[in-house]
Amino acid sequence: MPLMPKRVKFRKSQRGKMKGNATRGNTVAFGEYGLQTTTASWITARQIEAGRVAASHFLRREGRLFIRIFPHKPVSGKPLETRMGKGKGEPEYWVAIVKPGTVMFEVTGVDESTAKKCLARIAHKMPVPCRFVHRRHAVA
Amino acid sequence: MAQTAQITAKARPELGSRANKRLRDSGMLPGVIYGHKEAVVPITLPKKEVVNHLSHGAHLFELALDAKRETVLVKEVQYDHLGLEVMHVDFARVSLDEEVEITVPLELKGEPKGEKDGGVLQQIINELELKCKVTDIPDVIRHDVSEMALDDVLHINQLKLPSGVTCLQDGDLIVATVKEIQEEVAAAAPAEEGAAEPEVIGRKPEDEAAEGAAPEAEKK
Repeated sequence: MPLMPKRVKFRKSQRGKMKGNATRGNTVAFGEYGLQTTTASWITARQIEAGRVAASHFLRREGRLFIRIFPHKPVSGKPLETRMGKGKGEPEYWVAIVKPGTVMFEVTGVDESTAKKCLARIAHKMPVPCRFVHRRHAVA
Repeated sequence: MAQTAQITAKARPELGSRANKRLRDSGMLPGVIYGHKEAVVPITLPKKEVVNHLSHGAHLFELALDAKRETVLVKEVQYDHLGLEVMHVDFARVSLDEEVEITVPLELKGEPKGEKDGGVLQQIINELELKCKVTDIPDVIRHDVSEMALDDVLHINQLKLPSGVTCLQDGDLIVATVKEIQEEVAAAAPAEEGAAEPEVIGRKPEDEAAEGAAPEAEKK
């Protein structure tokens, strides 16, 4: 079952803009390695689920996967062969908004080469170009 | 123990984002020195050298600024949105006999015994907040986890810290665990998209049913 919110304040949302870069969620916080997007996009709940399935098949019971994004935004659409007008369409699917720098998935409990292979499999399921990132230790 | 990195800095008369962009384009790095109730001094640093020292975990710098030498501690490092480029560095003035609060990486070494029994080592705390003298700042805290069995938990108070170094975090906090990861139960057949809808806050179920029926009628 793809991800979606349990409760929402409004059933439908406007499309919005994806301006700027990620200022939050742009560092590896839970795992040791991460998958970071370099462009802004909508990631659908199905794509997130496909990434999770690909990773869990690859990792089996070895490491642990963290999903850092959640599809909060409903996307509505009109049915086929419908004339324009008559109001906004019904919600069809849910998306997560990602901006350049957002860390989408994280892995821990595996070595670097396994983490790279695992995150590359997830990257194939994503609609955005991604890069592999390490945890950065604070010096301050 | 931390080595003091020697860097030559220059005062930065031009302030603002545009001036700083020009600086970065020319291979320099903007920074600032403050602390000890003295003046705040914006400075320019050689980027390559500073990044090299920072990547090796340097905390303490000795800055040569206009025939004056200042011992400073890295207080904050700003990175760009992808975490690739260092954008700005904050330095705080310190004296060598001063006690400071600092964040130091925590490394777990060794393969836990519990991994052979199907467990996975999960490190929950990756950085420790420590208090120590400036000259005693450790580069990294290493802890051997090879004796950890399945379902063992490592707490902060079990870590061995160098003498003169105290941890500011609660001793009962969990640093790492060795646990078996439960295999996920295969999800039920995915429902058709749009079939299930979340509950709308502040709306009665009858209203939603009425609204759902109206568009159906319009489609026909």
